[in-house]
Formats: sequence, C-alpha cells, structure tokens
Amino acid sequence: MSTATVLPRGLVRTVLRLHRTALIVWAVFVLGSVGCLVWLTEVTAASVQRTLDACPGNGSLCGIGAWHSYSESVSWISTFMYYSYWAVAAWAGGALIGRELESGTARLAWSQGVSPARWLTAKLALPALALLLGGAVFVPVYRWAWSAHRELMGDHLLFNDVFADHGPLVVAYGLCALAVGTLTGLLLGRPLPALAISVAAMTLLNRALEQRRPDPLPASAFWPAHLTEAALVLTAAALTTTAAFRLLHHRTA
Amino acid sequence: MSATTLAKAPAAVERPAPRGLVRSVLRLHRTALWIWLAFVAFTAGLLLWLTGPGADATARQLERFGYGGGVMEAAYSTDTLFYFTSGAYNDLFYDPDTLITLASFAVALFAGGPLIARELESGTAQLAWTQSVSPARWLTAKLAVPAAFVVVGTGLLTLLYRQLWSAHSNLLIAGIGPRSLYFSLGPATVAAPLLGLALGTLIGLAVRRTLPALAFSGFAYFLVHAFRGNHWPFQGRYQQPDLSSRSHAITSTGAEISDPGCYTDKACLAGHDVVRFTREYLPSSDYWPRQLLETGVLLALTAVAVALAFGLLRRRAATG
Amino acid sequence: MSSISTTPAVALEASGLAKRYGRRPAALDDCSFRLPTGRISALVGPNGAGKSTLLALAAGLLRPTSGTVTVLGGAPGAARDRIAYLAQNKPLYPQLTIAETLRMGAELNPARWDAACAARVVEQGDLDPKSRIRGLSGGQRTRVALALALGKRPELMLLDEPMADLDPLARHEMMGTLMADAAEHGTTVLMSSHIVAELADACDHLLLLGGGRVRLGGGIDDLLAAHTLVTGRGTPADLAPHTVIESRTAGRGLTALIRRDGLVGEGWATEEPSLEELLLAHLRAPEAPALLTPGTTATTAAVTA
Repeated sequence: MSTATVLPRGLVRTVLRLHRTALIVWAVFVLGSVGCLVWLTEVTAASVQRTLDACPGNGSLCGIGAWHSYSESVSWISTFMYYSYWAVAAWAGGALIGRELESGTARLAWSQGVSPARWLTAKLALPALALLLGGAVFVPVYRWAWSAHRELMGDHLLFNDVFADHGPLVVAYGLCALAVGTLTGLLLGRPLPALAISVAAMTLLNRALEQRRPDPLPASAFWPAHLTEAALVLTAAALTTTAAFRLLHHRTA
Repeated sequence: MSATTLAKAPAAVERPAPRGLVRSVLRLHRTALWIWLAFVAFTAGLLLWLTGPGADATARQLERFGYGGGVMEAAYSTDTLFYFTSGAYNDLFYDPDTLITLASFAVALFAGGPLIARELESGTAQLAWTQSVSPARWLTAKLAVPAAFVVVGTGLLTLLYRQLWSAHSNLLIAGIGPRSLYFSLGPATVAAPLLGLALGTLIGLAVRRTLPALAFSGFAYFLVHAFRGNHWPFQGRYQQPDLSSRSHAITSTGAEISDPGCYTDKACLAGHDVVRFTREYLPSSDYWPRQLLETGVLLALTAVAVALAFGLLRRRAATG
Repeated sequence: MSSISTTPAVALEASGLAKRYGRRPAALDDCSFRLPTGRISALVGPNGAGKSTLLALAAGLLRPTSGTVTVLGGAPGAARDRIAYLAQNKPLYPQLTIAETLRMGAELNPARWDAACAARVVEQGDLDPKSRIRGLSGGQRTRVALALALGKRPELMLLDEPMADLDPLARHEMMGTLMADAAEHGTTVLMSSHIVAELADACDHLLLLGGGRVRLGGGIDDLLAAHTLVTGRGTPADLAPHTVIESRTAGRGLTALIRRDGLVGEGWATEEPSLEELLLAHLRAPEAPALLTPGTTATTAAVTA
C-alpha cells in the first residue's frame, strides 16, 4: 500500500489547515530556539569571553553577570525543549482530539468519506512528522552549542534536560505525549479533562524514567542509557497508539 | 444602622441572594473544588509529617554525627519511596514547594479555561446573565469564590511550611535550595496564585476561547513565576542574599566546639569528647523587606488585572 | 455487474438494532425496518426516542451494541462516500472560512464533489465565502452544513433536524433546494424533525420511533389509509374488532383514531386522519401496537430487486 492510499492528499491538506496555528507555533519555537543557540554561541559567548579576559586573574566575582546570562539562556532553551512534551500532550488531548469529539466536528470528518481510522492516522502522522523534523533540526544544533563553550557553562550531561536533548530521547517524549494525548482525548471526549490527564500521565512517565537514569555516568555509557530510555518511551508511545486505534475501531462502524 | 433597617432595605430584596450565586459557582466548579481540597489536604499532611515523625531519623543523624556525617549522609542515601522523590528527607522537604508551584499554575489555567473562557465560548455566561445576575456580579462571584479558597488554602500551607522551616531547616544541605525556599515562603506565596487567578480571568475574558485562553494563561503565569525566581533580566541586581548557618559540636562538659570532621567515625567522636551536634539557619534581616516588596508588586498587578477585567466586561456587556 | 445490483432497492435496513450507552436504558432496542430507495422519509418520535442514535448508526459513526444495519447494500462504514450526514448541532470547524470549509468537502470527497452545487447553496444565503464559520449565526451555519452535505452528491442523506434554526423563508427555500436535488438524483432522504407541517409537505414516507423501536413505518399514504378517525355515540368497546389507538370523549360522543379491521359499524362518522392527527394519536398512546407496511418490514433473507 502506498502512502497516497493510506493518506489521501486532500485529508493531509485538511488536517494541515485545521491545525496550522499549532504548526506555526511549533515552527517558530524550534527555529527561534535554534536561532538563539547560534547567536549565543557565535556572538554572546565571544563577548562574555572578552569580559572575563579583561578581569583581573584572581578568583574575584568579576564577569559573573555576563557568564551567568550566557549559561542561563542556554539552560532555558534546553529546559523549554525538554518540557515541550507538556505542550504536545495538552494540545493532543485538547485541540487535536478532545475538542473535535466534544463539538462533533470529528463526526463531520467521518461523514465526509474519510474512515475514522484514516482520520486518526492523519491526525497522528502529521504532528509526528512535525515533531521529528523539529527534533532533527534542534538536536544537532543543541549538541554543537552545548559543547562549544563548556568553560562558560555550569551544567552537566546528566542534567535531566541536557541528557534528553542530546539525542532522539527528546523526540521520543514528544511522540509519546502525542499518543497519550490522543488516547485520553478519545477516552474522555472532552478537551479540558483530557488535557489535564494527559499532561499528568506524561509527567508521571517522565519522572519515573528520570528516576532510573544512572547517577554517575562515564561518557561511554551515555548512549546506551539514552537509547534505552528512548526505546522505552517509544514502546509506550506504540502501545498507546495501538490502544487508541482499537478504541476508535470499537466505537465506530 | 440596626439589624431591622438592614432587613427592611429594599436593596436586599431586589438583588439576587449572593448566597445563591456563591452556591451556584461552587456547584459549577465542584470538580476543581474537590481537586483543590485534595491538594491542600495532601500537602498539609505531608508538611505535618515532615514536621513530626518524618524528621526523626534525620534529626537523630544530625545530633549524632553533625552536618558532614549526618545531614549529608542522610541526603545521599537514596531509597526510592515513590517516583517523585528519592525518599531522602532533604528532597522531601522541597516537595510541598513543588506542589504549591504546580497548584499556582493550575489556578491560573483554571481561571483562563473552565472558569471564564469556556463559559463565554459555550454561552453559559449569557445564561447566567439572564438569571437576574448582572455581568459584574457574576464576575465578582467568579473571582471571589476561588480567591477565598486560594487564600485560605495557600495561607494554611504557607504557615505550616514556615513552621516546618523553623523546626527542621537545619536538616537541609546548604546551598541554593534552602536559600530560595526561605526567601520565597511568605505572603508572596499566597499573592502569586491570586495574580494567576486575576490574569487567567482577564485573558479568558479577552480571548473568549477555552484552549487558546488556557495556553496564554499558562504563559502569563510562567512570566509571574520567572519574576518570583528573579529570572527577569532587570532583576539581576535583586538576587537573594546568602543565608548563613551555624553548626556546633557539643562536648560532655557542654562546651561548644567546631566540627572535628569525624564524619561517622565513632571512635574519633569519642576522642574529641563530642556528645552531640547542633545546627541552625540564621534568620536574615532581608527577609521581610524582600517579601513585602514582592507581595506588594504581586498584589498591585492583581488589582490592575482585576480592574482591566471588569472594564473589559463592562464594555462587552454594554454592547452585547 | 449489472446496474440493478449496484442500485439496491433498499437504501437502509435495520435488523434487531440496539444501542446502549453504559448502564442507561437502551437508546435503541430491537429496532427493525427497511427504507426503500428513493423515498423521502420523516423520522419522528418524542425527545429521547433514539432518532439521533439511529441516524448516527446509519452513518457509521457509532457501532451498534447488537443487531445489524445495512446501508446502500453494505456496512455503513463502507458507504461513507455515498452518505451525507448532518448532525443536530451542525458542527463545523470554527477557525475555517466558508470557502475553506467547502474546499475541505472537495478534498475529502474527491470522486463525488459538486462544487457548483455547494457554492449555489451558499450563495442563496448571501454569505461571503471569506467569512469565518466562528462569526456566522446559527442559521447561516446550518446553510453551510447543508451545502457540505449536498456538495458530495450523496445517495443517502441522513439529516438530524436539518432546518431547526433557519428562518421561515430560508427554511422554505432550503427545503425546496433539498427536495429538488433529491428528486433530480433519486436521493434517499431520512430526516428527523418535530415540525409536522414541514414533514407533511416534503416527505412520502414515515418512521415513528418510540421506546427504542419503530412504532409506525411505511408510505405516508398507506399509513393514513390504514387508519380512520371515527366520531359517534358509544364506548371504545363498541369499536371492536378494530384496534383503537386513542379515544377521547367529545361532548356526549366519542372521537377515536382506529386501525380498521374490516368495515366500521353503523352510527359512526368516519374520515381519514391528517398526518398530524395520526402522529399525535400515536405519540399520546405509546402502548399502541406497531404497524409496518409490507415494504417496510425488515427481512433477514437477501433483498430481491
């Protein structure tokens, strides 16, 4: 079966049109983060370095403000990207699925020659693609920016957000949030409870997996730990997606 | 004015009973109410436990081995209790703060979404306005009832937290943790969710659509949260000052000496004739000025947001 | 394949159809009937009788708890592109414009979409295609929803109170458009409504739901002919062996709606009831036995052309 038969072009265009605001917000967020990282690394870091170089060489607090503003900004960007799964879970449970079921527009789509399963496929596939593209742009730039000026940063590879943003794990969390939001949206059929519960469920999953991250970690052990967690999160996403399709199939003819 | 003249006043007859309005607001938002009560009860229970039996083991450690051998050891002996915490007293101590922060965010989101925007979007607000309740009174009830719950709930938790601080802050590892907790706990802890409530309401009235209002309210409260953490660029000069602590080892004669650095070596402690340790964080003279300034700013912003909300409603209701 | 087998004579057939929501009493319970192709059928019943549930089941939007529903010769889900469905609250995406909404219809129904037809329905209402759905009145939204339903050139239209919030002029005009379109293309229509006058003008077939089942089913003319409104002196017992649907005393006499079994006795004045009288009598008497005219009875055997 080709992709065209699974997802007709008209359906793709319709879903894009319905969720264009979310798509634009996501694109601005990813590109803005990447732009800030490039600016911080290429421009701000050099000026911070100049300020520090001008300081007397004893352990005084000279230049700490400039240093702080640089490291703080990089940290905020990585934290925002790490916790973007909250926004994804809320959006999927609320705007993507819950609101459509509550207002009846989902039924409108299903009575337009689109089967519920195809509708759900499109609703999941396009945001998933956007998350993948966003991760593909962000992760390499972040890895480069993070390692560029280690002497100006106070963080560590094992910080929760830094650990995840260094590879596919951050994307895995986004995909899982999408699946969890979709399932709760389908289960509850109301945007606000679905939104609250999907955010809570994702937070629990995230905290549970953070707990099992190793404490002291040699650099060589980073990838096994990172990829194991990504695999677990993606398994959860796959199971949740299967459950969502089952549920929809059970409900509709 | 006597009670009889009050009862005879015609205004009391013409106006719809405010008690009925309050009751209908409570009934409409009972899920949120139950969640709030559950949050307050759970957090209060946690605070009481931390003040009482939860602290016993770590307090004994401090008394026997001091800061290095007692408090530090206890903080890093992780035995996972449930996923949110390692189970170490030092970590559990901050969990109520996390819960209060999350609840404050939830108040702002609730105000923006279910409290105001959903009612405007679905038209149930107009339904209320046609039940002989003026829009202004409707908004007053919508703000006053949650505000009362927020003030009582967070006020109670803040008092319990201050009590916990004076009882057992000496069991915390020194650093940025105790400092930021100490300076953030106080009237501002109560004022911040009130500002969240007001901002959410204003955004709900302005946007009038549930999900966008929710997103904007969350962002707005994030800005408030950043203000409280001194993260705004202009706040760079107002970072919290250091919080000093004082530790002593006490010998069998009752003399106070400095920590001999024995960690958990009992023979070493006996050699220095140490029978117990004490430790405390010293109160900072900066605490009240900082708290009052922060509370003042938060309440002023709350007043501005509430005034804007009523202004917006008056313009809307008059034209619609 | 012959053209006859692709156009089944039965548009919609339900057999033992039941739908329960959780532990609540069944919305539909052992509901069986047939709707022949080309009919314009009214779906009538008291509030909560299961009309919306039946329409959603036929549109493949719900899965029945038990029983089967066959639409255009197959499962409802298989005929999605040939069915139009209009929900009671007329849901539309508020963030789209009218033009975007119609483009969505075109994109989701690429094989059947009739853009001119949809545009015509919108134009009749003096609507600007660039205006957003969010800003439209309830009646204007209904018009866009109907344009979306008609634009896909359906073989079966399932309409849940389609005209409820249109003004009288728009209602008349939309009903005209709908009927002309149905007549021209031989579309089968099943529409629920509470406005009997509207149904009497437009429909030639009737399904009356009550207690989750079909209480009356068949061509309106056949059903009216099977009933008689009698007036005279006597008691309901005097009207045996006819089935008395409803009787009431009027002065010293009796007026009753009966289902005739043979000739009516001497001393009774008879006349054929109006559709309104027929419906009101059956709505007031929920215990009256069901009546389905021969073409409307569901069969478990294969449909013969």
